[in-house]
Amino acid sequence: MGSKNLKAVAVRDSGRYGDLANDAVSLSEIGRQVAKQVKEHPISRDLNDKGTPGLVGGLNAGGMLPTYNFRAGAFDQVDEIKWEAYEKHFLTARRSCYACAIRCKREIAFDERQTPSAYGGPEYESLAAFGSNCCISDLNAIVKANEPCNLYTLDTISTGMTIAFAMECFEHGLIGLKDTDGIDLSFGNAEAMLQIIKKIAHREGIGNILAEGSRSAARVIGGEAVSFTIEVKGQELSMHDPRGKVSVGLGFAISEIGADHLVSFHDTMFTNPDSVSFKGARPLGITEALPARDLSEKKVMHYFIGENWSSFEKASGFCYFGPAPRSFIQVEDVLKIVNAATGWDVYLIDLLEIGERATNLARIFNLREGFTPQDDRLPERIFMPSEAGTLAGLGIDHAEFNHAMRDLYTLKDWNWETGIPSRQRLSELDIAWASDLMLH
Amino acid sequence: MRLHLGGHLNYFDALQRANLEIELVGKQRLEDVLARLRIPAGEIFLVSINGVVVALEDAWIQPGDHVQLYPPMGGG
Repeated sequence: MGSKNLKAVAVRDSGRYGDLANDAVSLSEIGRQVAKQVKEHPISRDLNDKGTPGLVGGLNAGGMLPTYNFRAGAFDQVDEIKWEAYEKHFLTARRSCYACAIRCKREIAFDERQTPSAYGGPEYESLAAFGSNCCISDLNAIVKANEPCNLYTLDTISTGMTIAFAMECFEHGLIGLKDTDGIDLSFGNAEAMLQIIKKIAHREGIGNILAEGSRSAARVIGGEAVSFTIEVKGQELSMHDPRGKVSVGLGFAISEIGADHLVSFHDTMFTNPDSVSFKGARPLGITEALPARDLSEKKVMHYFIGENWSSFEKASGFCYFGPAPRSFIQVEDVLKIVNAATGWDVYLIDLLEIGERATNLARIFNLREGFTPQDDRLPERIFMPSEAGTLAGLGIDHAEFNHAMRDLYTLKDWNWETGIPSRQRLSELDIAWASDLMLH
Repeated sequence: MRLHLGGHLNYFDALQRANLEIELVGKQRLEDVLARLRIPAGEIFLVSINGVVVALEDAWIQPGDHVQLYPPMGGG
C-alpha cells in the first residue's frame, strides 16, 4: 500500500449480511450448526485455547521450528518461548476478529516493558521469527517486538527474518559495529533485535537498508550476504521448515506472492489416515496418507488440491482457520454455505475451480510483470542438511524437488520452459481473455 | 512416566490434561498405555521419548521416561 501511496480502503456497508443472502434461512441454520461444532471440534478448541502459539512445541519436537536463520529445526531454549510460558506470563484474554467463534487472537499485558495490550500478543509466526530463528529465548523481548511491528505495520515474519539475515552477516563479519551504530547484532541478543526494529521503522542507519528486506539488503552488503537470504520472490520464508514438510516448499516456491505457508495444506496433516485432518480432506480427493517428507506424484496431487482449496477460501473470504481440513467446518458445509449465500447450485469441483482460476490470474499478472519459472525456486539453504533437531542431517533433494515442480507444472497445465498457462486450461476456467494480458 | 499431550490431544483425555504423571510397572508398549487413556492412535503424528522421535508402533516406555505426543499440525 505504501508504494502506491494508498492510505486506506473504505468499505461502505449496504445492509445486514444475513439480509443479503440468497437463502438466509438455510444460511442461519448452517451458522447455528457451525457455532455448535466450534465448541466441540478438537482443532477449533485448540485454536481457541492456545491459538497459533501452541504450534511451537510440536514443530520443535519434529525438527521443523526455524532456528538460527533456518540452519536448524530445533531450538535448545524452546521451553522459554513455548505456549506454556506465554500463557503463564502474558496472556490476559482470548479475542477474535469480527463475529468469529474460534477466537484465536491472544491479548497480553505485562509491565516490564510497558507493552499496551492494544497490539495483541504475538502469533506463532512472530514467536519463531523473533525467537528461535534469531536464537532469542527472552519471551519478554519477543512479545515487545510484536508491538512496534503492529504499530508501524511491519510484517513480523519479514522483519524477524531480515534481522536473522543481518545477524548472520554480522557473525561472518560482513557488517560490523561501525555499520550498526555500535549495536552488537550477534544471534541471541534480544536488546539488539528491539533496537534494530526501531531503526527499520524509522529508516535510521542500517535500518534504512534492512527496511527494504533481506534480498535488497544483501545486494547492498555484497559478498556472500546473498547466501544468507532465505526468501522467494523477495519475500522471506515463513516459520515452517520445508525439510520436514516438503510440499510447503512447493508452495513457497510457486506462490505468486513469494514464500507463503498458507497457499496449500501442510504435509503433516495427512500422514495418519485415521486423523481428524485426513478425514476432513477426503471429500476433496485426498484419499491416501503419505509421509511428510514424501515428494512423489501423489504428494504433488495433494499439494495441487490443497492449493486450489486454499485459493478458493481466500477468494470467498473464508479464514484459513475455518474450513476443514485445517480446521472444523466440514467441506460439505462450506459448499452449503456458498450455495445458500449466493443462490448458486455448484459442486465441490466448482469451488476448487474458483481457486484454480484465481491462481492462474495471479500467475498471468506475474508473467506480465516479468516473473519467469526461474523465480519458482527455494533458497539453497533448504537443500542443505538441517544442523539440529529431529531432521538433523536432512535437506530436500534438489533433483527430487525439481521433478516435483515439473509434475506440478504439468498438473496446472503450465509450460515448463515459459511458465505460461495453456490457452486450453484458461478456456476451461473461463478466463481465456486473460491470456492477452501477458502481451502487455 | 511424564506424558505431554500436545496440540489438541489433551481434549481426548477424560480430564483434558496436557501433562500427566503416570505410574508404570516395568516396560510397556506406548500404544497400550494410550489405549487405556483413550487417546486415539489415529490422532498422533509425532512421538518423542526422552527427546528422540520414534514411530508409535515401535514405542516402548518405562518408569522415568518423558514422552511427548503431538497431533497432525497445520499451518498458522
